[in-house]
This record gives sequence, C-alpha cells and structure tokens, in this order.
Amino acid sequence: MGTLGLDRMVHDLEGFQGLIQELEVNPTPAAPLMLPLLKSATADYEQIIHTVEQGEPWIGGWYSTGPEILAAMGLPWYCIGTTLLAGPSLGLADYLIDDLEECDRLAIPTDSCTLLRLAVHATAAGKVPRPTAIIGATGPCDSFALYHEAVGGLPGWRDIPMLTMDAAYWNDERSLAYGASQLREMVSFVEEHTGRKLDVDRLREIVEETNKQYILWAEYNELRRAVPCPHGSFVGFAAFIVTQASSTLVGSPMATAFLEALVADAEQRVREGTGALENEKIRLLWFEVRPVWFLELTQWLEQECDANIVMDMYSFCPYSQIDTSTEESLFRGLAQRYFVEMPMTRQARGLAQNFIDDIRRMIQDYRINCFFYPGHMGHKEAAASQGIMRKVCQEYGVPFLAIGMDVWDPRYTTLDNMKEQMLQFFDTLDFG
Amino acid sequence: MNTSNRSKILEGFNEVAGGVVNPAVQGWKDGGGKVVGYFCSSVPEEIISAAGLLPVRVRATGSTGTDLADAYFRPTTCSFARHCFDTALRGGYGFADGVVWANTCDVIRRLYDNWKDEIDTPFLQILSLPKKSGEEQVAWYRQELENLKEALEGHFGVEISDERLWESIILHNETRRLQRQLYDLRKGNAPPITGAESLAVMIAGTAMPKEQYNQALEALLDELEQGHRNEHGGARLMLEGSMLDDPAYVKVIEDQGALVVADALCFGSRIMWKDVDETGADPLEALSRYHLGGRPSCARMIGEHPQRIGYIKDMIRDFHVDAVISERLMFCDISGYEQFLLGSDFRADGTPYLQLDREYMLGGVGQMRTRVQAFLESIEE
Repeated sequence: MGTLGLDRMVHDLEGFQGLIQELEVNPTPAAPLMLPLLKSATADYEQIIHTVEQGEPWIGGWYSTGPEILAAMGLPWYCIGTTLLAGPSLGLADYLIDDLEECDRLAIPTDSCTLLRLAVHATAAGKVPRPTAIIGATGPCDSFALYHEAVGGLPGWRDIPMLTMDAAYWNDERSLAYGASQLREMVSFVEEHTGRKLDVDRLREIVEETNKQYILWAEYNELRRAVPCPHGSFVGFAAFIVTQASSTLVGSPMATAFLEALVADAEQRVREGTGALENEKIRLLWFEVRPVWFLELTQWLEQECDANIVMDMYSFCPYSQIDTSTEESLFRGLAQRYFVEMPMTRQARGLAQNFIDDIRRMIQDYRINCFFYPGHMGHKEAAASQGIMRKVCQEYGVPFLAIGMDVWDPRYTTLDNMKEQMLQFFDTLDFG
Repeated sequence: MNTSNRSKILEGFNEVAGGVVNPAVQGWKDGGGKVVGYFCSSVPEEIISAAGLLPVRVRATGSTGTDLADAYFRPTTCSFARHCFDTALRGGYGFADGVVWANTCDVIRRLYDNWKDEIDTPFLQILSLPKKSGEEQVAWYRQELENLKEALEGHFGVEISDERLWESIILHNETRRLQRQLYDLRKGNAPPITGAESLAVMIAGTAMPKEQYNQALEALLDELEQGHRNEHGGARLMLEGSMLDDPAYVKVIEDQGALVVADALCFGSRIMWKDVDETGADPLEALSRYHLGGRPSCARMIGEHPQRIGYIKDMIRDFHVDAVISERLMFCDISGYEQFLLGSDFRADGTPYLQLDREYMLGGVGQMRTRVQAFLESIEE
C-alpha cells in the first residue's frame, strides 16, 4: 500500500469511520448534519482506495474541473490538493504541523498559497496516489494554475497526462462558448486516457439532479436570512461539499436528500424562532475560504462573542439553473457553473464587480452587521481587493475587519492572536 | 567595464529609463500627442501606435513609497502593483490619456479594478489574455484585440486601418531587430555594453516614440560596434524572473565582478527575440499569434515550461552563460513556481542557479551583494 501513496488516505479513512461510530453511539446535536458528510468522505476515500488498488482509472481534479462530467463517465475523481487537510480539519489527525514544516522546505516561496504548496509537497513526498490523468484549470488564481505545472514536473508524475482548461475573463456568451469548448476538449482528453465514454443522457440526469440541489441550496440560504439565524457558522458550507466537492455525491439523490433534510430542519427552526445562538448579536460575513481550524474559531465566536457567521464566500449560492434540453445547452450551463459561478472562481477570476455585487446582496439579505475579510496570505487577488471590499462595507455602514492569516496554517497568525484582533474590533463597536 | 565615458546616446536612454515622465514622453505631449499606458508586454503596442498614440509601459520608477496604495492593497501583494497605484494616486499618471491592461496576474488585474474606481484616466481597457496557446486561444485573443482597436477608435476618434496596423508592426519589428543586434554584441568575449546599460536601453524602448528610439538605437549600435572593448574576466550571467525595470538592480550584481550578458525578462529579450509575422493577411491575427506562442513564453502560460527552459538553455549556449540568476518580486506566485521548476531543471544539468527575492524599489542591497558574491565564489570554485 505504501508504494501506492494511500497510507494517509487509509489513516484518515479509519478516523472518519471511528467518528461515525462514535456519533452513532453517542449522537450530539450536530450529528444529523455531520454524519452524512462523514459518510460521504468515507465513501469518497473508499472509492479512490479501491480504484487505485485495482488499477482502475481515476482523475486528479478539483471541484471546478467537471465533476458532473466525470460522474457521467463513471470516473472517480479526487482533489489531491486537499489530502493533507481532511483529517486535521475534523480534528482527526495531528500531522498538519509536521506536514507544514516539511512543506516549508520545498523550493516554492512560503508567501505562496499554503494549500497548493501542501499539495505539491504531498505529491513529492508520495502522500497521495497517482491518478490516471490530471485536470487543472487556469483559474481561479495564479497559484492554482501553476500548482498543476509544478506537480506535472515532479519525478514520478511527469508521465501522467495533464490537461488545463482555460477560463475567459468575462461572463458573456462568447466566454461561455469558449468555456464549453474547453469542456469538450476535456471530455476528449479523458476519453483518450481512460477509455471511458461520455454518456450525454447520463450527464443530463446528473445535471437535472444538481439543478434540484441548487434550488434547495438557495432555499436553505434564504432561511439563513432569518433573525436569529437557524443554524450556526459554516453549516451552509455543507451544501458546497455535497453538491460540488464529493466524487460519490455529485449529482446523486443522496446529496438531494441531505439538502432536503437541511432545509426541513432550518424551516422548522425558523418557524419556531429558534436560533443557533441564544443571544445572536453579531451577524458576520466571512469573505474567504473556511479555515482548517474553523471548528475551534466558530465555537469561540458563537459562545464568547454571540457572533454567528451567517454567510460566507463558499456558502453563498448564486448558481443558475442549467438548461438540459440539448447537449449544447448542457455544456454551456456547465461552463457557466465551473468558470463563472463556483466559489473562488466567481470572486477571483473576473472583474471585481462580480464580488462587489455579491457582497452588496449578502449585506442586505443577511442583515450583516460585521464583515470579516480574513486576508488569506495566498489569495493575492483578494489582497489587492481589500480597498474595494472596505468601500462596499462603508456604503452600508458595516464595520470591516481585515485580519491577515493563513487559512491552512495556524502558525501564520495564531488563533489566540486572531481572537484578540476580533475582540478588540468588537469592543470598538456597539452591538447592544 | 569603465562606464564613466559612456556616450550621450546611452545617457539619453538612461534618462528615459529613469523616470515615468521622461523627456521623450514630455516632448510628445508638448506636441499635442496623446499617451496610452499599458501593463504587461502582452498588450500589443502596435495597435496603440497605429492609432497615432504613444504607447508607454507603466512603471513606478521614482516612487518612494506606497503609503496611499496601502489603503487598497494588503502588504501581501507585489510591490510593483502597489508602487504603480501609489504613483497613480499621487497624480503620476495624470499625463496618460488611457491605460490598457491584460489580466496578466492576480494582482495586476485587480489593479485595473482599483484604478477604474480611483484614478481619473479617460480611457481604460482590460484584455482577456488566455493562459494557453492554441488555435482557439489565438482566435479568442484576436477578438480581444479587435475590441481594443474598436474601443481606441471610438474613444480617440481615429481609424486604425489594416494598412496602419501593418505599418506599425513593421516599425515595431524594426525596433526588435535593432534590439537583437544590441544583444548580439553581448555574445562575444568583450561585450561593449553592460547588462545594466542594456536594460536601460530596453526600458527606454517602452517609453519613447518608436521612430525616435530606433534612430537613437541605430546610432548607439554604430558607436558600440566601433568602440573599444575590454575583455571581461568575470562570470557571464543570465537574468530571468519577474518584471524588472531597474538597471540599478543589475548594476549591483555586476558590481560584484560579474557581467550580465543575457536575460529572459519581459523588459528584455522576451519582447524582441522574435518578430511579429508580417506575411499574413490579418494584422490582428498576426499580433495574437505572436503573443500566444510566437514569442518567448511568460511563466504565466500553462504547459509552456518546456519551451521556456529550452529558450533559456539556448541563450545559455549562445551567450556563453556561466550561471543563471532568477529574481522574483516578493509575493509573485508566477515567478515562485517558475523558480521551483527551473531549480529542478538546473539541478539536473548542473547549471549554477541563484534565486533572489526583491521588492520593486531597490533595497536590501547589502544582503544582495553578499548572496551574489557567495554565488560567484561558488562558481569560481
């Protein structure tokens, strides 16, 4: 197993299984939400481990590199970039700091995004299995595009076929046609290197299922507008995981069922006037990726500060319904989903106006009274957008805090330091 | 090399390179001409020239700080962008009648959004530049260039005919030809010009009317070809990396006893090593093709590292390079990953290789000297 690069996945899989068992025996209030997610992670890992052991084809990809298409081709995919973070983010592993220290020894500057450096490290160190082929994209950010270049240059990985899809800078019909063409190039590439064929009817079924899911996600987000917010921080992030980030769940009825349950629970709580926090004072917008240490942070925010992150960059749901009537409309719609609408791509790729409008929408719809720009060190385009974000917040009189952190590396700005910054900020404001 | 007796022509190029508003730009403006700035060498100057406008590559030469820009950019953004924006906020680009961008990198493309909000420049345009080279991308970028052409025509009230575009391409190719001649002089044992001086000449080429520049460069070439050459006994270096528009930076390296004889920089050989094809039917397609696969590739282009390392190795061979220095503007992800890949290439073939990080404004010179000295000593061993 060691030579297959599966040790870390097997280790984490055992952790997921242990946690599932524990939650089933001693259910916590969070168990109904946690269990399906843990089970999907388990299924994803089992699928990849089985596939690798059997020598069957699978794709090293990302949530924006055609998950619905790969699902329709019957191909497992896995985001090799997140291998080293899954365990630590659930508190199941203590190897993150060791990995980060090893990662620092790579000849990639430490001011580059840690997630992608970790991914290169994981690959170079044999901590991830070799996929049959890799699909990358030129967006959302420079590091993301270049990480594929770096991985493709590593010994032992140079012979793995790789395709990078290019995303246009605009959102217009010409750009969507370009994106659709890139997706067709991807299909040809995957067919050539895996022997699997795309079944368009199957793709249609999957996309129709995802259309239902995106409606449910939007419904759920509407429920989060309620005061008090029915669920806690980052709960909506689960919708992102089940719709986009899980190889076994993308386009599946299981994901739909999960979202239906999520909506039903939120509906009931809104009807009863039950908030996630007893005394919700601060309704935060977190305009960034969810950090690896989010559990500890959000627990502190909720318990000590009466603050709930009612919306965040990944949980916001601005997705269009895809017209499944023809093959052309399917590809056009998927191009819009992957190259225009998906998180990070939506904010980082095109004009700033894309996220300016989103922030305006979120501030108004979610009655945001505090904006956190975490300032992840690796997100250079966001770092160059700080003034723009602040200006939008000023329009609405929403207090703005830029923090400065590494969402993957707790050594960069310690959690204590962040808490101190947040407390000082809250102290200057009057939240009654 | 004794640089104290350098010619008046070289001094003129140095003066142009030494400031954002230089005598050539000022002269153009005084004559009623309009100026369009541009970020990134992937914005074709030829289209701007064909509109009868003066293309000037945006720099922040002379900037002394980023106090104003820091309200908009986090410190984790590259200092080139911050200095440029600071210069603009202080009115340093008030002379520009327009500025054109390509979505070159994460920070430069956001600089466009900030500029649009805060700086009162009459004409702004950003081009969607693909990160891959292929026929589909050539067609895409050609359309972007068509959009730029039409926008310039509409805003400035000019017509940019194909004929004018071809004339402009021929003129700019002439610049490239002369610049390659300059580089040819650096291949031999006794280059008549230093790396720092060459960089100043190249920078000047992005900030002067091309006719005027070509004339001056021809005169400089005559002078250099006839002038006395001293044998240089130090290491012959090649520079590659982030955008570099500061000859003083190169001089610090050369002052340690080396001579920079070649580069793969976007203010250097990468903007002139190849010509735009003059034989096609469509000038915009020719320009698009040139920028996507026709000229030496930028590290932002995906899947082209083999071409880039091939280009660098050809330069190493042709210019008898002993070692390569890669300079990176801090926080530049593109250069960072390229350095990672180059390090692996050079380890494999034994080429001495040094990576340096820098800020846009020259600083940390003592540390840089020490690192370069140690590197040069390691080569001599």
